[in-house]
Amino acid sequence: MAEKTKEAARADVVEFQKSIGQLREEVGKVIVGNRDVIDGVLTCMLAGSHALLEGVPGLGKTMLVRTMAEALELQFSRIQFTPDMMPADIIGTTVIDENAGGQKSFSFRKGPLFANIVLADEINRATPKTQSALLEAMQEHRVTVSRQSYTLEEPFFVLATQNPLESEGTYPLPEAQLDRFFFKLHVSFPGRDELNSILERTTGTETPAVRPVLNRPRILEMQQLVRSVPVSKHVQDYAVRLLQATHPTEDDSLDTVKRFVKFGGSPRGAQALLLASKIRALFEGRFAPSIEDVRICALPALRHRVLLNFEGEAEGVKTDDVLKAILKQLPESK
Amino acid sequence: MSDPRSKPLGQIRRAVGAVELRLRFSRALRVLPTALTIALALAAGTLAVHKTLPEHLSEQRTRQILIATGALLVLSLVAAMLRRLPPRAGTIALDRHHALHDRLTNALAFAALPKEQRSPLMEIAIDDACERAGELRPGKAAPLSAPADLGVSLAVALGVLAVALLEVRVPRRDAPVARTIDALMMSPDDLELFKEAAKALDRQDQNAEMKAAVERFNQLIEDIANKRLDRTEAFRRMEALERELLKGAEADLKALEEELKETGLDLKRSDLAKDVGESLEKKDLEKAKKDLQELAERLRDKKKKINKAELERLRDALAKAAERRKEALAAVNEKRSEAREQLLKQKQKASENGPQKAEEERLLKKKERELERLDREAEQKERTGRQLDRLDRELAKAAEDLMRDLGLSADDLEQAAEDINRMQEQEMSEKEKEELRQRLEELRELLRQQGQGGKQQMSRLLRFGKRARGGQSGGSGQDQQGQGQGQGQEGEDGQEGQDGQDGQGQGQGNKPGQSQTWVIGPGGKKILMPGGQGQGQQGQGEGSQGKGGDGSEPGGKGVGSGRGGDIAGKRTDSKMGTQDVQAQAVDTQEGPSNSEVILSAAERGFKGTGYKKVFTDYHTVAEQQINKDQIPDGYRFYVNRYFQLIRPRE
Repeated sequence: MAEKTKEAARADVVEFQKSIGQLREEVGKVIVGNRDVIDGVLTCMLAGSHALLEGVPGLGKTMLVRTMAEALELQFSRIQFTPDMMPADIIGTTVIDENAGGQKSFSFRKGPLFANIVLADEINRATPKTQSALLEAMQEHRVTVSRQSYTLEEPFFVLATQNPLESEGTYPLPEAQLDRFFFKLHVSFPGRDELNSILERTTGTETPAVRPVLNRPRILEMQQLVRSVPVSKHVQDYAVRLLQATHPTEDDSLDTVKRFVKFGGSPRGAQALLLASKIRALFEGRFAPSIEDVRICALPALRHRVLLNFEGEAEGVKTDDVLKAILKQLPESK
Repeated sequence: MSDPRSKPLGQIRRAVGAVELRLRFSRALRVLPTALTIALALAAGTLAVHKTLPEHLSEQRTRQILIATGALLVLSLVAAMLRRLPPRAGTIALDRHHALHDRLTNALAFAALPKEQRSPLMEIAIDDACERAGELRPGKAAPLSAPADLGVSLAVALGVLAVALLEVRVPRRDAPVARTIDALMMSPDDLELFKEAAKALDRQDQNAEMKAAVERFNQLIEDIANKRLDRTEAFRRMEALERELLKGAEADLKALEEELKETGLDLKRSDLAKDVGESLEKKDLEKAKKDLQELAERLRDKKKKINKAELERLRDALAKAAERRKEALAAVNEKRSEAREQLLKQKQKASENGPQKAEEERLLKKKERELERLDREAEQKERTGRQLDRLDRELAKAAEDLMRDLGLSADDLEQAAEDINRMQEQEMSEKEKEELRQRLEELRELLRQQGQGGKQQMSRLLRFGKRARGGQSGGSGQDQQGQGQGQGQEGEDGQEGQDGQDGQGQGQGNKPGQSQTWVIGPGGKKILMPGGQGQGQQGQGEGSQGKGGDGSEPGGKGVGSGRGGDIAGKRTDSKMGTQDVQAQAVDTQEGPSNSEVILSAAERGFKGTGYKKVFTDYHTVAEQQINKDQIPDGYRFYVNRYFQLIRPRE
């Protein structure tokens, strides 16, 4: 019996790896390069959480999300955030319906948030009021309108984008909302080869078609598998120590942290580290995450959770630099 | 049924153990360069100090430090090895080296869990690790390589080797003669004289104090003989020794004798103690002791009945003797207080009247001197009093006891006899001290004379001693360096400058002349004295007017003329009680006269049977004179020394 379960588990892992491979292949038909971003987005989705993509306009953020939605055969909606956008615009609103008989009744009309994959484009352009409308949906996977709660269909996955350059007319995301994003991914400018490939693919007559490779139940199964991946004590301990090291109040934290960091990562950061490590182990066909997995996931999982102080901001220090310093100093075993 | 994974898991664990061991070694190797460099530097320093300053760092101590340094090195390496490794350091190293992404670490962690707690994925993870167990290479996972800093240590090691091989040449030090002193010189004859005197003192029965003093005197003579002392040190030591000898004070002794004499006068009044009194009066303490003991016997003997009146007189005499000294002391004290009072009054008056007249001042000074004298007298009386106290007490007690019980007073008188015995011993010791002081005084006088005569006199004495011992053949007594004849005969004149205008002529006679001094010895016989001297050094002749000769003429026959040094030679010491004469012996045709014997013996180095006989005769006469106190104290030494110098040699 035990042997059979073992084999099943091994098969699940193999199947997981195969599905991910197919998904990468389909997305890769449209999106050139940015493998880390794709994996990051997939990690967020498999963890049942959300991703914040940051990059200058024109790097294919929206295209990436759209392509993934197509490959995943999930309901996709895109919300372009603007300063005048109201919460009702994204959640939905109650309207008066009149039936054929002329009877009028209130009915709830769902907003674009009711989808499996939601692209919140340029999220920082919306007012905090509208931004906060996303809070409940992202954490609880449900929305409440007029005392009526509506559960969002699983998987629910928000992909928000923001432009780091334009600050005029934008509203920086509040810390509480930032913390709800599993990963913050930096979309970098493509290299020469990648640009060539982009041009070849997008300026010709043929547009690459993306076929759906994963459906909703399969994604939920994969999410289940992720949760069942075991984590040994030393890996978990490392994740905890890493998170503690981001706090300037800890006795053994680095001087850099003490000098430039205002607040360290929240427990959600440790959760994100561990879950992401599990997913990364599965991506590579391993049955348990390693310290190396935690280290690799540390930047996207913690960079938006660590807040710099005034001195850090004034010095132009980046959270990535602080995290890299921590990763360099933190011993694997203690 | 055994778990098929136990074998690969065991393999993994063994590999982990090997890696951890290598990690420990690796850590020790990392520590090695620093520890080795420090240890080597320490060793180099130790060796360097040992080689350059061996007196500060002995070989044994050096060896100990080197061993300790080695032990420190080993200890630091062992400490580095035994220090706790981080948890799972072995598996992490293996995982990292084989790029296993913590497969081994995870597998061992999962395998450590109870089987029921393991999930299927954990089991698969363990299997996954087991599949790779055979590929593990602990040696490569934790390679042992020589630390890069070892080069520095090797360089230091070479330095240590160089220091170890280096031979530091320490300039040879002639240890005892390192400090150059102007050593005091004494002729062997004088040394012998003093050594003999010390031996004579040593032969006498002495108390410990006297013995130590004689020993110190011996040591002093020995040091002078070995040229270990300069003048200052020799005088310093003589002074210290003399100070020690003077502690008892001659004056105290005399005062003690006076007091005993007074006591004797008192005791003479009683018929019973007449003998004792007379003995004390004569300062014959030994007899006084015996007489007192006899008196005690008489008192104790019941058969010999003693008249009560006699007893009463004895008691009175004893009581008076005890009282007398106290009275004397009281009288002196009274005088002292009177004098002090007067002095104070005069001082007060002088301060009130302003500046004093010369006469007043003189009177004041006189009073002060008188007070000082009285103080000294009182002090002396107190000191002698301390010694007489016991005797006084015993006599007083005897007087009291006489009234009650004769036996008791006899005991007291015996005690008094004991006290007198003690005083007698002390007096004897004082005599020895006095004798040693006398020797010291003689030695000091001798050294003082040498200091005045300088090196020349010493060299003459040495020459004389050598010649006297027959060290120079021929024994003609004629020296190469200039000759003088007669009493301080001057050297011959140098060549006078030739006449000329404003010229000067100079003649040189740079060789000392030596005189021969004859003294009249006992029996009117003449004796040759070696001490006389005549110098004719650098005689100058002055030409009057004219540039005379250039003085190029050599000095005439080794002696100068004109204003030579002490051309008359050293004046013969008048204290010797002799006079310089030229006596002609009468030729009786019966053999050589004593003077001829002496003269010829002196020329041959005081050898010969005839001379020995003459010397014995003369010396015997001299000793008789000394013993009869015919020769004053201050001159005895010179007589002794003279005979020491001219004693017959073998």
